[in-house]
Amino acid sequence: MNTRYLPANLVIGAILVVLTLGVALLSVFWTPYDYTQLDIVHKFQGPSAAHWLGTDQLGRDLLSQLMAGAGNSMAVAVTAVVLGGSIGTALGLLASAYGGWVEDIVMRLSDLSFAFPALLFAIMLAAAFGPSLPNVVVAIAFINVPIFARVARASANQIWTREYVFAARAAGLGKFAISRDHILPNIAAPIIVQATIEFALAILIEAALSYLGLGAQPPSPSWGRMLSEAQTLMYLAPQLAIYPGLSIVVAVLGFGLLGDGLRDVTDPRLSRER
Amino acid sequence: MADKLLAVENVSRHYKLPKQALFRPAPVLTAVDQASFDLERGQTLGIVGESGSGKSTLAKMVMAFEPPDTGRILFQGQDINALDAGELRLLRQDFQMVFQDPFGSLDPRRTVAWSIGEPMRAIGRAAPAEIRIRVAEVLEQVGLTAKDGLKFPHEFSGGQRQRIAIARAISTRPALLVADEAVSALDVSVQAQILNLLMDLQADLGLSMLFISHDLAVVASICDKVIVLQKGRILEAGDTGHVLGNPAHEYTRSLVAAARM
Repeated sequence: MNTRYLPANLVIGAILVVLTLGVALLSVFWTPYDYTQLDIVHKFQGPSAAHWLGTDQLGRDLLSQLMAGAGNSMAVAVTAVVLGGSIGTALGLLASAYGGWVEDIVMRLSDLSFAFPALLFAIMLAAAFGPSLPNVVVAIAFINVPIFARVARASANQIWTREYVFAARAAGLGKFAISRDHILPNIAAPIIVQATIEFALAILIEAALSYLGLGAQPPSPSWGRMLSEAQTLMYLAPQLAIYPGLSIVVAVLGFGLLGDGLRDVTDPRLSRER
Repeated sequence: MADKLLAVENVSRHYKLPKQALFRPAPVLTAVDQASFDLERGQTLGIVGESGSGKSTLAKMVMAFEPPDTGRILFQGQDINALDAGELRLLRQDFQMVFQDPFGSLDPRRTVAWSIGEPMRAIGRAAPAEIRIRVAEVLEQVGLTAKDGLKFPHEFSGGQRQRIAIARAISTRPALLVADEAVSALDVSVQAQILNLLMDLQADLGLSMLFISHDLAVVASICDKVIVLQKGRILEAGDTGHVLGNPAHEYTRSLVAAARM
């Protein structure tokens, strides 16, 4: 592959992702203020040297809340996508390796869970087990399983017809060993691309669930919860809704663009003029 | 019987084609129809025929990638489709394959040494150090150097890759080598080098070969005996010189005539 220039979506996506992840990582060690610290006297402040983005209706530092929210959002998205992606990829490899009724069962179950809206499933989980971030992780992981199972199976089916897989069979390798040694390394690219895109959607779903009060519970910081708290104050202090909204846009856009860019780079069928 | 390495007995293979009408049964393609032949130790048997004649299906069945629908395939007197998975895995070191496409038969993400060592690792009897030594040995046997093992497949030319594929195939000291169009994808000059290498290895190692090709000139140069296949059926079989010199069948005559143009 000739890499004279990188696609713009890849570069812009990568910058936004690095920014988001950097802030999220930083928030684990340091935020300007404790995001739970109330300071009623200094509520609704505009940007200042002390509070870069100002304070909210209870005088909490907005920047600190946004940073901690980034940490929360990333942690949920990473856990959920890695969990759902691993299970889904394993199922897809299994379906592709054994074919027949194994493949039928895995793929029909995927079809079935595709028919289930993610938000509805999360609301159901919250109703059954109470609203909490772990339940959000489970819900997002669950909806990712069939997505990755499909991608993994489709890509793996292509690899199984390659001659080096026949060569491995001639060498006496079993299906598990071939899946591990040849199939998985050769489908890594589409899996990673998919994971990046699903990551963006996971951030969005987490925000939506927290907004609905089904995700992060007070005082745990979350962009979605900040939005819902800011809603009643929209006319009084619109900045309280704008900052978390912008954070969500930047994170989702970043991962979405990065995923598209990675796909352009790794999938030669989609690349335009050389 | 003692020197019969491979015996193919009345083997047939059918494939179901995609359905064309909803309530009619799917049409069936007979890829191999009642084929029988023997391969003796140290011999090279050519299988010729145009594309679609069932050559590759036959190779797949001999390699136990697919079971025949009828008939048996005996290797060293054992029915390869009656063995359990473990027994078959052990037996596989005695019959290896060289594939058609030298660009496809090596995993692009693995070093050459890794790929060559794979059959030995699959058997699981040799220590890593032994495997390293053997890999270097077979690389030199096919005219490459031990250092080449550290490179990746894309760093080699087609002819060199086919040498690597051959090195891999002989690494477990097999008795039978199945070569499915092993030189068809190569330039004529490189073809000759690979054919010479195969003949040298055969003389040195006492290999038997099942040499599948559509190219009569290549088959004539390397095979002791030859089978002519058309639409899955064996038309003629016998010594290469005899079959290609005095073709009894119209189809063989047309193949010979086409090759001489």
